Amino acid sequence: MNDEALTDDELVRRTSAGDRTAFRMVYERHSGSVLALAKRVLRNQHLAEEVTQDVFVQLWNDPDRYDPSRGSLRTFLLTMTHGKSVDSVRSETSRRAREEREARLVPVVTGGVDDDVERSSEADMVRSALTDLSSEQRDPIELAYFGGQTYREVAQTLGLPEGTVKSRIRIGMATLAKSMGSPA
Amino acid sequence: MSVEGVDEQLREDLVLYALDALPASESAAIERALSERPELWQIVIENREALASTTPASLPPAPDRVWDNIASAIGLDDGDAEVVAADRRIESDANHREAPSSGNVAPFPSQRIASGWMWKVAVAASVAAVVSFGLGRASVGGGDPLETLAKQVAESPGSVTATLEADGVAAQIVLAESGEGFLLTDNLPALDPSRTYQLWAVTAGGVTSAGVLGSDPGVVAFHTARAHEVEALVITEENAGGVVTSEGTVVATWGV
Repeated sequence: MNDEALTDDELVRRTSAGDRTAFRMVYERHSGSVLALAKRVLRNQHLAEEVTQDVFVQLWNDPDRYDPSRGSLRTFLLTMTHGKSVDSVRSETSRRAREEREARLVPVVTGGVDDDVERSSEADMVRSALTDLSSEQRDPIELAYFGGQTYREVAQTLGLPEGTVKSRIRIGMATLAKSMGSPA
Repeated sequence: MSVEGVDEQLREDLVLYALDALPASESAAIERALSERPELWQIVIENREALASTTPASLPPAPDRVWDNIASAIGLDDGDAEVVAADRRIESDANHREAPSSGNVAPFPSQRIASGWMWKVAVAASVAAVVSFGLGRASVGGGDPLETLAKQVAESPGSVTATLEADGVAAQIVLAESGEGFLLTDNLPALDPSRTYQLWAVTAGGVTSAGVLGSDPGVVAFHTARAHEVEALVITEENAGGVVTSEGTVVATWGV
């Protein structure tokens, strides 16, 4: 099969019909990006590979979840990747916070500074599209997307009101979408 | 965005939903809104497409072991795998010339750190009259997308490689002139998950964190000052999550 002759949508359609070769071609095309994004968020090769496996096994098990009217296959896979990676980050953060509470036997109201630093420090590799944004807009987007933080955590990390963070993210994303050719 | 009649609050929440940045307690409301007004998906889709564009598309597939695990999980037998493998194209480096990310993230971009060993390192580095990065090339294997990016960085003009060493441990780093860098290889012993390795860059302006490397680093990307500005590099061991000011011990150094 000549993979260049088949669109992603056609490959998923064939995958849905049980065509394992088509599925492998989807993997060949997109697993590199999936792994790269997972690793950016998780900063852990092993966990990133696990997420990559989960994403493709889920695609194989339930290919009809991909709806071409809701974006490209690549975006679908990366969205799934991001969701799983963020779940892992938040789960790990929760686990660590719980362990620290137990160890110290004192109540902890919010995530520790270390958690904030970790999530923000992990977001250290982005493409030029994001660097075109002002740091005001770029930093909260990176903390949220690559650091796996909720907007509330981003606000805490940056010491800004939550409303300000939401507004900056929205404006930054509009700028990013525009630079990618989407309507602003 | 092209969808009309959406108030700003809802639009902001839809963007956050696309980013997975809403707390679970708030996501449910957005999912209800999406269910009741399907046209709102357009806003989510546009934002997800934009986010997807921040991840390079032209990367080689994940390592074979990942495929092997997938094949095992879905019951793909070896015969199937071999047939498919015959179709597999290993694209040449020329097809993966997408520039590595040149972002300048550093959520704490201007924070300067100085405590304990940091002052000593900063002073030692400032005394060095000439900074001599080795202009060698990193020897990285294929298979991992980050390794491919690292190889591109190693081959880019002005890139430098440095080996951080101390007491039997070594870590090779490649740094592009743009400040993009990769930890390529290391023999750093795996740490307890409650600990992490952290990389620091010393420039004329001080000592800054270049990134948290994790408890058992493989190939790790980071971003720091431009290569010609970096006078020394230090890896320390810190509490998991990393720190703004080093509180840990020095594990390996270069240029100190």
